Amino acid sequence: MEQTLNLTINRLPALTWHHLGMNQTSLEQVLAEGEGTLTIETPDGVTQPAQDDLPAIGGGMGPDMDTLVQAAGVPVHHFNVSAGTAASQPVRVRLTYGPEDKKINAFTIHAEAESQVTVLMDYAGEGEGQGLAAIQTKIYAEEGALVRLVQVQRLPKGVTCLNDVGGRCESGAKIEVTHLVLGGHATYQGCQIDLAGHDSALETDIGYLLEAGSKLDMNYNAIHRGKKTTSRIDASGVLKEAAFKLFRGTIDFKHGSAGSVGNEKEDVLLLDDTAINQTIPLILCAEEDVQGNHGATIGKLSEETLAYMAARGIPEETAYELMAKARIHRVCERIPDEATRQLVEQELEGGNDDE
Amino acid sequence: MRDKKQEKTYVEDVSRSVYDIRNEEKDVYRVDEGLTEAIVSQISKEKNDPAWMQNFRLESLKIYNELSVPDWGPSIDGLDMNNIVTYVRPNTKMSAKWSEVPKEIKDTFDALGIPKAERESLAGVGAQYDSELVYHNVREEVSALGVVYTDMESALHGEYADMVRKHFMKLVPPRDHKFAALHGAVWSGGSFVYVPPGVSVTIPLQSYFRLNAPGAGQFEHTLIIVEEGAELHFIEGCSAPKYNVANLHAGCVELYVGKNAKLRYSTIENWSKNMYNLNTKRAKVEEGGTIEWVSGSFGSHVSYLYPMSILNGKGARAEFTGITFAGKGQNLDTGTKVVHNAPETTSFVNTKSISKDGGVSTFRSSVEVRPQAKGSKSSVSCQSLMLDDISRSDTIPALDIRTQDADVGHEAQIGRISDEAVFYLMSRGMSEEDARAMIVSGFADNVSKELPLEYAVEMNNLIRLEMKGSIG
Repeated sequence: MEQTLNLTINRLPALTWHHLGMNQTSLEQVLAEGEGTLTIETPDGVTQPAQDDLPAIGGGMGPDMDTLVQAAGVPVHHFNVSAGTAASQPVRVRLTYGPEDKKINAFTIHAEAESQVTVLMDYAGEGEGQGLAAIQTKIYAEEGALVRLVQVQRLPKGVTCLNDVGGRCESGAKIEVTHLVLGGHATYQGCQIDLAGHDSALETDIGYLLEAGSKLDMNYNAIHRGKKTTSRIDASGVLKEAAFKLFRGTIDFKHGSAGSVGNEKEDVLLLDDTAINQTIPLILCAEEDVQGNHGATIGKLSEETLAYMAARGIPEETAYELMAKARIHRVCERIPDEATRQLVEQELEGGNDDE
Repeated sequence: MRDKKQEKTYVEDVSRSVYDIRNEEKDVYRVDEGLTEAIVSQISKEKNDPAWMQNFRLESLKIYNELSVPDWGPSIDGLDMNNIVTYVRPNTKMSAKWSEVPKEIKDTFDALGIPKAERESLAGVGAQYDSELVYHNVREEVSALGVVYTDMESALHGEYADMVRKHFMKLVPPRDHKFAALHGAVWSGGSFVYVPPGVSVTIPLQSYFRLNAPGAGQFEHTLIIVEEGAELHFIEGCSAPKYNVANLHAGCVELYVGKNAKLRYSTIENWSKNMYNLNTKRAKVEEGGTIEWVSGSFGSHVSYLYPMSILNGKGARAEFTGITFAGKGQNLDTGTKVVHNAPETTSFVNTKSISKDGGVSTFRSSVEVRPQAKGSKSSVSCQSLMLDDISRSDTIPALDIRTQDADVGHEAQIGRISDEAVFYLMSRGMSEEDARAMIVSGFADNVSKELPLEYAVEMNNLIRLEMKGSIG
């Protein structure tokens, strides 16, 4: 029997005025049945155990996303890198969806002490249906481990995407997350990384290109618990044609996180007057010896940039197009894989032939 | 060598004494504790309200009972309206002469420096004691320009009655939030200011609100109308002695800034640390007009305070300069809201907050740029200083931008006093405590330089007071 769920997701760690509509997002009657079509390539050094016991790790979208995974009863795919191993190649995960599919997939990435792994995930589909693509990825980086997670969302226009990431870093571990949102109708995305160990680190790069009424609702949390932890969250994107974007980004310095540094930056280019841009960057601080910084620039291109372009014979419309792509390219350059970078480039040039 | 703990106690006891003067309640009129229709009607009757205001109060009470307390800010569980007295009237009438104010009350305002400030640097003063004004005066030369500065009760009954009715709680309707509704039901006291077109009041007016009664609430209403091309600086001060029971302040400030007019509204808030300060301030600014908020929050146990600017005409402008200092036992949730509702509007927000001795400071803001606000600019900057690791400082700024043609920037920093800066000052012979106090005063410079000299001095004294005993 089909069972739908009402979800409350992407809740801010500290609430503010409700009338702004930024505290959280409610989704009604969400249905996910079974897994999306999946291909996985694992390199030497990465195993896929049937079970992998990880500590409890919360995701950026919140506990309702865990409930959705459990209700669907899908298997969890585990990737494990044993201690001291650097995976020779990235893990490649490709998820494809039919036009009306309502699917959910769950993964864990467990990097044991002093190991390294890169996981590339590509979400794509066919047709113009009203499908659902839900993905949850939990990461556990043990002492000194490095996990790079790249997720490229290039779903067809009608699809709703729920993309949840949660992670925990032990001492000296680092998690790098790169998110590119290039397709879909509505994308709800959360990422919460618990920097539990001393000297652990998070780097997050987010790029998005939203058009034609599409929607992106995000919630990123960097939780600093260990001493001398560092986080960086950079979001950069372009909105046009009645697109909607809500960025929630939190740097949370817990008591005891002395010596930690968190930086958050957002750069949004609005290409017309129909787009809606909402931003709420939080810095929560219960520790004296920390540094937290946030900066945001939102709006059109500066007069200086336009004048510079005009002086080189580039018309305003082309200048905007160039600068829009530049924002995605900047994020794309962070992807440690040539094939994925090319995939993104092709998507920006008008789609891929491989679908 | 003096014991630091001893010095800390000594300093706090002596330095706060100005604010901690307690006068025994003698022969005052007070309504019963709690909030009922009968009490609201009783206040209305005591104040001889016109019929529309009687109805307004009762309707506000209904709304109050319908609305919930906020679930997003500091806890107000310690505030029980059943224990709050909403109206306490001193046994005196409002006077325009200090000599006619009862001695005990006059002595309190003398200690707070109000009559002296009036003589030296103000164009007019209103002094409220508990629920009613006890003194109100404006310089003759200012009155001669057509400037009206009077208490709200007189305005409600006098020649400006229609103007009051037209504007009263229109910017902050009772349905705005629970404590706006409370204000609508039980308000008393406050000031009405009208500045005619083209008139520039070059020296400030000041209202000072003093809450003496333990367990009482103060609900003054300030309504200021600055007409086209006019200019005014209004200063608001407030304080209360500390009691062991909760006191409540739920005032309301409504500011109407006309075309090409300019209003600066400065506040040094130093309520006692048993006060729940749930205050609402809002300005609507027409074409080419300017609102400037200067806000220093030092007192209260809990504060919810977010002066709001609605930039309603082309080229309207808002500036908000604020500082919040949260010490032991304080949870101060402060900030600002701006709505860009017309083209080419500008907002500039610059705030500082300091947390110490377990104090909690939250900067909360929202900037909305509506589709019609093309060519608008907004800049929000907030900096927070943590003075120890038992305190807390949060920054919660929201931006909602709905036009391409806007230039919006935001920056926030949280950090600590640099050891190098303290070491440098100590190497020049300063004690660590003085060095840290000097750095914090410098950090608060954005506010103090916007205040008239006397008030900047008072603010720096408050900072020094708060910083005493911060070492060790």
